[in-house]
Amino acid sequence: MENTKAPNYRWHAIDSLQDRASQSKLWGLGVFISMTIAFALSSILLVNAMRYTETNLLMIEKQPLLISILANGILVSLYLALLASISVSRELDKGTLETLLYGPVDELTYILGGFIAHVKVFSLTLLGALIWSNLCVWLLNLSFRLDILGLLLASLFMAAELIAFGLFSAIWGGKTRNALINFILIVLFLGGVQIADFIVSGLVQIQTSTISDPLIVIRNVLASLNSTIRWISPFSQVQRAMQALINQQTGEFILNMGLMLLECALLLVGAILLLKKKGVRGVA
Amino acid sequence: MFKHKTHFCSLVLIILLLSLIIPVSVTAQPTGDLDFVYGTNHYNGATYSSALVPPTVDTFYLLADKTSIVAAKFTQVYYWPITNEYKADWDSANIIIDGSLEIVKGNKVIQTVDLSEYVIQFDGNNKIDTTVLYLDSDAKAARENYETLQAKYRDDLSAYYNLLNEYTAIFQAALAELQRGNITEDQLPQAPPALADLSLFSTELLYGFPVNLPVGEYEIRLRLPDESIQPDSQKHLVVFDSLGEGIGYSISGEERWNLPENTSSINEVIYSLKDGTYFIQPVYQKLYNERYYTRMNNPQDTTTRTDRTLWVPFRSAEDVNLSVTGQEGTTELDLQPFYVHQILGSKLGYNIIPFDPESMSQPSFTAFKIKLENSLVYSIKLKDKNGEILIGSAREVRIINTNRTWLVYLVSAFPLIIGMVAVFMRRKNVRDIKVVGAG
Amino acid sequence: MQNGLRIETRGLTKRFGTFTAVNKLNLRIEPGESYGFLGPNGAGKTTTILMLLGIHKPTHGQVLINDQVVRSDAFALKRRIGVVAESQTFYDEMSAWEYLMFFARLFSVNEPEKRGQALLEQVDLWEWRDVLVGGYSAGMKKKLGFARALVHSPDLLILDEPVSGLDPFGIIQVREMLKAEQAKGRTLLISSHILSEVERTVNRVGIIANGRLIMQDDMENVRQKVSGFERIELTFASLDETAVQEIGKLPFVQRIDRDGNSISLLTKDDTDYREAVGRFVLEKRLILLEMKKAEKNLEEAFVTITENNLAHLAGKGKE
Repeated sequence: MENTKAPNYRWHAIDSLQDRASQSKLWGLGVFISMTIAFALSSILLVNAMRYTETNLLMIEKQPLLISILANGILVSLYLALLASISVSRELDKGTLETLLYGPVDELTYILGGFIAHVKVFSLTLLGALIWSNLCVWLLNLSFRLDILGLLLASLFMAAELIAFGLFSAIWGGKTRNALINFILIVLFLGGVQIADFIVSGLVQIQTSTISDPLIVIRNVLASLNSTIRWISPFSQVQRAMQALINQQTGEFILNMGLMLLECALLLVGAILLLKKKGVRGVA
Repeated sequence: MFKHKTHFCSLVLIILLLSLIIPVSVTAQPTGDLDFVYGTNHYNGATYSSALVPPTVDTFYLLADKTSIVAAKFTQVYYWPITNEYKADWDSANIIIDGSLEIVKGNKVIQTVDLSEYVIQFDGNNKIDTTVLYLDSDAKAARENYETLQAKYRDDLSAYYNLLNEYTAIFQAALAELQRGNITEDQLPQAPPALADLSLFSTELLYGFPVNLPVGEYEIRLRLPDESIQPDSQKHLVVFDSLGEGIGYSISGEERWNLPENTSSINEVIYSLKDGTYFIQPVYQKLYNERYYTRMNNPQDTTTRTDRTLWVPFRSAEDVNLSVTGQEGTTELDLQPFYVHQILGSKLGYNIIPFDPESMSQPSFTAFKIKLENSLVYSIKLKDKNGEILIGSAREVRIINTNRTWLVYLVSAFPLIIGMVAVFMRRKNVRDIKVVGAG
Repeated sequence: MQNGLRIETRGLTKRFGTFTAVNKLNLRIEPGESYGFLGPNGAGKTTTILMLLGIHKPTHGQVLINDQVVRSDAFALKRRIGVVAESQTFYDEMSAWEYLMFFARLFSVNEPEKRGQALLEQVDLWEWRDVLVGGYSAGMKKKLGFARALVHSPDLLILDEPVSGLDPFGIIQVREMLKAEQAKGRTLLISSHILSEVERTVNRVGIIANGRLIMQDDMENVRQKVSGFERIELTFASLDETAVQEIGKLPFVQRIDRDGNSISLLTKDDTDYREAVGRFVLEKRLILLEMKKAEKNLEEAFVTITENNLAHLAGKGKE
């Protein structure tokens, strides 16, 4: 009783898989809680900017929603990437992936289906972010500019890269615990170096009278490290893309979007090849 | 797991090593003894600034079609770790090197510049319009003129203090008479008029190579009197020009006039408070390549990029008026001088009042004064004396509503509400139970 | 009517490091055939099945289904295969209906709701269709696994321990389903330890041990191959262990199994040994309540083939 009008088998399987996976993400409160927390943080950042205006009587900004949308995008995409990593690891641990592979599903179909599912859920959260930002524009009389859409697009690319990394770390790690540890360690490293560089550089500038040599060495090491990893870190890439959008530097925007897309593609290909090599029984 | 930890640690180690190795400079390093450096006194678009080009820098930058000074010196160069840069200890060594500066383009010497004397002078009240670079005999003359003016000012100041002392004595006596009721207030003696400060500033008579080149990239080197090339003197020189001009504003609120905010780009929006009074000072600004301009002033900078630009204000705008458009229509404002009147006594604070030339020595600043009270959105534009709108002068001004910030937090809770609805709908469609005794 | 798939393996070998799990396996299963794939634990059955499905890549040799090499991306082929694995895993957060519909969609089933309802009714899960699968018992999950495997009406059904975990009623349901599929001309490949169930369903048997196929023949021929043995069942009023051991030492007794006061003797079938047994029982003054000859079955054949006659039958029965 097969429907002989079925479309291309692979794309049909990808569609079925992503539909199931995205629906299951929305059946629980997790995504919604992460959105709430992200919006709360974004609100804090935005209201702080308003407080600045109250204190200084004025504020000059191209896009006051920039930091808020960036923070929102980073939080939600990290959560979804973690979710992607956990769900793939659990499918490997439990054996449900093997059941899928009995049918018209192969490694590429499975990885792409999972990837699209999580990116689709993130897109829905972006819709929420767009509504949130429009409401803030209306409530606070902020200026609405079309570059907000560009900001959201950059967030989407960053999320895609992080989700691809989540999938890759799940296959790489195998067991859920290993996948989580890999994912968290690497994300902490990439983000942590940036933050540490920022903080230590600021400390060095402030405390010039009591500065100690070790702090300067640390500052220099962090600056060097940051200058290298900024090209592979999705957090740096999205920041630069957003800044390029604000400064209307189309080339820089496209470059960073391209970098995110390239890394995303490499990670997906890596995940597929790794899964093919290890096999479902080998990974688990 | 151990295998993966090892892979991860290896990855981190590789990145660390690469990060430490790659940025190592391949240019000359200071020796610790006397090092060759270039010092610039360069035109920055408005006035002159100075910069050090240490041995570790192989490229420096100058503005096109304007004379800047490049001085070749020996000095002691040391590394200052706090700001991560090299500095010159001019106090210990500041030796001018004689010779001629060769400017090379396409392997051909296109210019040879001899060592010259120079002086830079400007009026402190209007540095931008009055800065002048004097060379050779003009430099000497300008310096001598300055010294003469300085001497005269010292004399005038001395005379003024004498007058002031005399006046103080006379005033005390008159005050006593006033208290006795013998004279009225308007009979009190007037203080002698304040002596205007000597506003002319001048450098010493200095030595350097005056360089004036069109836009392009060059090599420079110092040819010594014995025809040899000074070691470490070969550098790459980038000469650049501004990419355009525009209008910027320096804006301050009435209660915070000394902490202005600046806006350079028409994309920037000015957010302000309802019923606020603001002072807007327009400036002409020029657009430069961010890296070129920043490294012109600081050749050791590493943070800027060639694909970014920078707006640099160079002169206050005068003979312009401000068109302010709001809900109620358009208002035209003129530039006005203002005086900051300090409130004496325990109250502290200040009032900003219109400048009165009869009672005040000089205005504190000149600006447009606007009060934002009727609209939520304004548009401001600068017009010249012919009524033409100056390109790049438009800005949007928005009044933010700070009473509604709590609603922003409320909006953030919406996803949770939607989630609870989704979970409720799901629970309606499925049963989450443990089935026992069936199948 | 034969619209099943043909399965063929040529020199199929799988090594894990130095361990050879499957060694030069040559299987041939014709379309519409019901094939029992038997072997003790660790014999290589599951590894073979995983290679048939393209999950494991063979170290050497080939797997051909309908003359096509099986790969993970052989979608058209995989859409015609249904699998009931030994350990069933499900998406616990989905209801049975959602789970079945997901697979129906994956396999592009026509009129999926109608098909899904028919299958769930067939396995008595219709009443529980909206319950999350995480709340199902093991037996219910097994039945759901069947429904999933059959939702797209596969031409080849591979079953690994199909009735384990089922109650007697569930076993009957599964048996009837398999018979129905057989009647439609599907190819069935059943791997099981519950040999009595396999015996009732399959018409050909392959026996694997230590990764090698030691016998592959029709069910009737396999029974014939163990015709050298028969079983005598005795029930006593009381029985002690000494008596059991003495009976077990009788020269014509190949094997003895005790169940309370009953024993089952495996003897050669060259003569009727009931007389000799009767005389021994009288000698020992044991009170015999019943003695009878039991029918030969596949379980005995299986035990016999893999433990006692391995070398002999490897030469006789292997293709």
